[in-house]
Amino acid sequence: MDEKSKRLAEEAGKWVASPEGREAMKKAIIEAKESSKRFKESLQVDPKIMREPFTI
Amino acid sequence: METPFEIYPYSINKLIDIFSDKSISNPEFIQKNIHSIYFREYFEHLDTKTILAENDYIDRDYLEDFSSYYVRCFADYKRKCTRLHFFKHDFCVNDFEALLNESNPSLQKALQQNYLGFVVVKPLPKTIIGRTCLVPYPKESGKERKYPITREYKVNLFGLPLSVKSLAFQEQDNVVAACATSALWSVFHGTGILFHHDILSPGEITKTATKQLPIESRVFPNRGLSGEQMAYAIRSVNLEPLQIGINNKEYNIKSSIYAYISYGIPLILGLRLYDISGRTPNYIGRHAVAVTGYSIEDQTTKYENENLKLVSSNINKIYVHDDQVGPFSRMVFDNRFIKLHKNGTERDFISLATSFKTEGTGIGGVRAVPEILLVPLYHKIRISFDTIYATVKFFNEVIEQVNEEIPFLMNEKIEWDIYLTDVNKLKSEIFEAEKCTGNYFKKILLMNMPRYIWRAAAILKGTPVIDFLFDATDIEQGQYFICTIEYDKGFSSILKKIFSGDIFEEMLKNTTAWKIIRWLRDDSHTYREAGSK
Repeated sequence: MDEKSKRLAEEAGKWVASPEGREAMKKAIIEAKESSKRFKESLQVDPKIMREPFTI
Repeated sequence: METPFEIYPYSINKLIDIFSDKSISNPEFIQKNIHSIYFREYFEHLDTKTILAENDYIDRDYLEDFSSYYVRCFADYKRKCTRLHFFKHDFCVNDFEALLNESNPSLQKALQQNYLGFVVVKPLPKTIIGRTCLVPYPKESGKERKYPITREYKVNLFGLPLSVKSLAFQEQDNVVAACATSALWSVFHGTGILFHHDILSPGEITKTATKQLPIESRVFPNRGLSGEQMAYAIRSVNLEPLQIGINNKEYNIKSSIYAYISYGIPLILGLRLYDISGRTPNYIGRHAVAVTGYSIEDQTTKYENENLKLVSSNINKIYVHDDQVGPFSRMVFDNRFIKLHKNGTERDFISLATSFKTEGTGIGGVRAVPEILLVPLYHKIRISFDTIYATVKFFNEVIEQVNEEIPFLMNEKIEWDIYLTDVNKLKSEIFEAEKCTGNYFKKILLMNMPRYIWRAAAILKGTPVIDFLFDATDIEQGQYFICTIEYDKGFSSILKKIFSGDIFEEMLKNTTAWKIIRWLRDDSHTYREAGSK
């Protein structure tokens, strides 16, 4: 592993552990959950559509 | 008396003559038919040189339909078909007769190498295109066409073994099959091999689909199946129909098709067709096709802001078996919307360009608004794409947040390649990859894994940095994570430091994400380059 990656890893770890980082992580987790929920909902099928025939 | 075979130099006019001669249709009708227009372009593109007509061919699918319906008609419909074979090699009757008389290895090899597949011509008045297995369009420079669903069809031509990699197509006959039946029939040709189930004939599919639901219309002549009826037909071959709504989102259709077709599962795509030749779109009707491939032409990724950046967003065309057009016909994502009224308001709807043609429009005059996808899944594939999406979305969100503060992604975004696979394919890919050597990858090859796997590969600047593997056979509360495969030591070390924060344990305990984080924190799973201890 190169020095740059080592340095970035240390900085990233420290920031995530900081109060500011923790707050950002909390927001990220909540945002990811909400966004995934919206995506899941957008894949739902209206049961009415399933009953209409494909005729062409 | 008809000879067992006939051989002709290829031309579209000759093909139309043969179609007319071997069916009970007329050349004028065939010439105007969209399939002839499609075949003209197709066979010219494939540089077709010769047609061999195999007379008195017994086709299993037509025979089933014949016994269910045509034999009971007063009119005398023939029982036997003609199978037309296509070659990109010039040869004549004398050459082929000589090959049958005595061994000619060079001609035999030439025919085998230049075989393009076959079309069964049904002895019917209008809908004459029966089982058709033709090679897909070949690769072109700069275009990545993928047909993961093709399988090998073995052909025995008077003892000469031939084979073609394709997926069977046939035109609906409007009697035992409408578009939905034809699409299902093609799909079953793919899943029948992949998941080992019987491949039903069109008539059997229609009967099975209509058995469960009392409907107003009759079974035969069949005017079409609903999504529910198609789902019943899928269940009848012991597969589970997964329904996916498009809901006017291009992201949904591209990501879902890619996720499943990459494993070789063809999907049913339900569409609404609109004639756009007038001032306002004119609704034609609902149509079902089998999705058989896709094309990724460039890397101009489009994705909706809150969504993950996915490899599948680069899809610019899908290939479909459209019984109204032909096999592997194009549907293009060309960023054109059509304005439609829904619930009293006018809205823009995503639409695809088609090769569909009506009496009033030329090719290009009909656009398709995608509505639903039906994915026929083996019953053990229980975890669906959206569940994997949610886990990957979490990791991506965290990585992006950290990257905003500590830029480590080199001004790039991670692109995610999420698709279904199986343990054999996955391990073969690792085994064959030049970079995957050493003890770390040996441990992965020796790891016990479930049969069906979701693979989510994180790609940075075109290079995979880490894979997340998930057990597709688990249940959602089962924390379906298997392992990661790390390809970039630097990236992995940053990831491990990010996820060492205690905030994650507080917020994610007992989730799949937490299982992954614990895996990342465990040093025994860390990537070590070949040769290092």
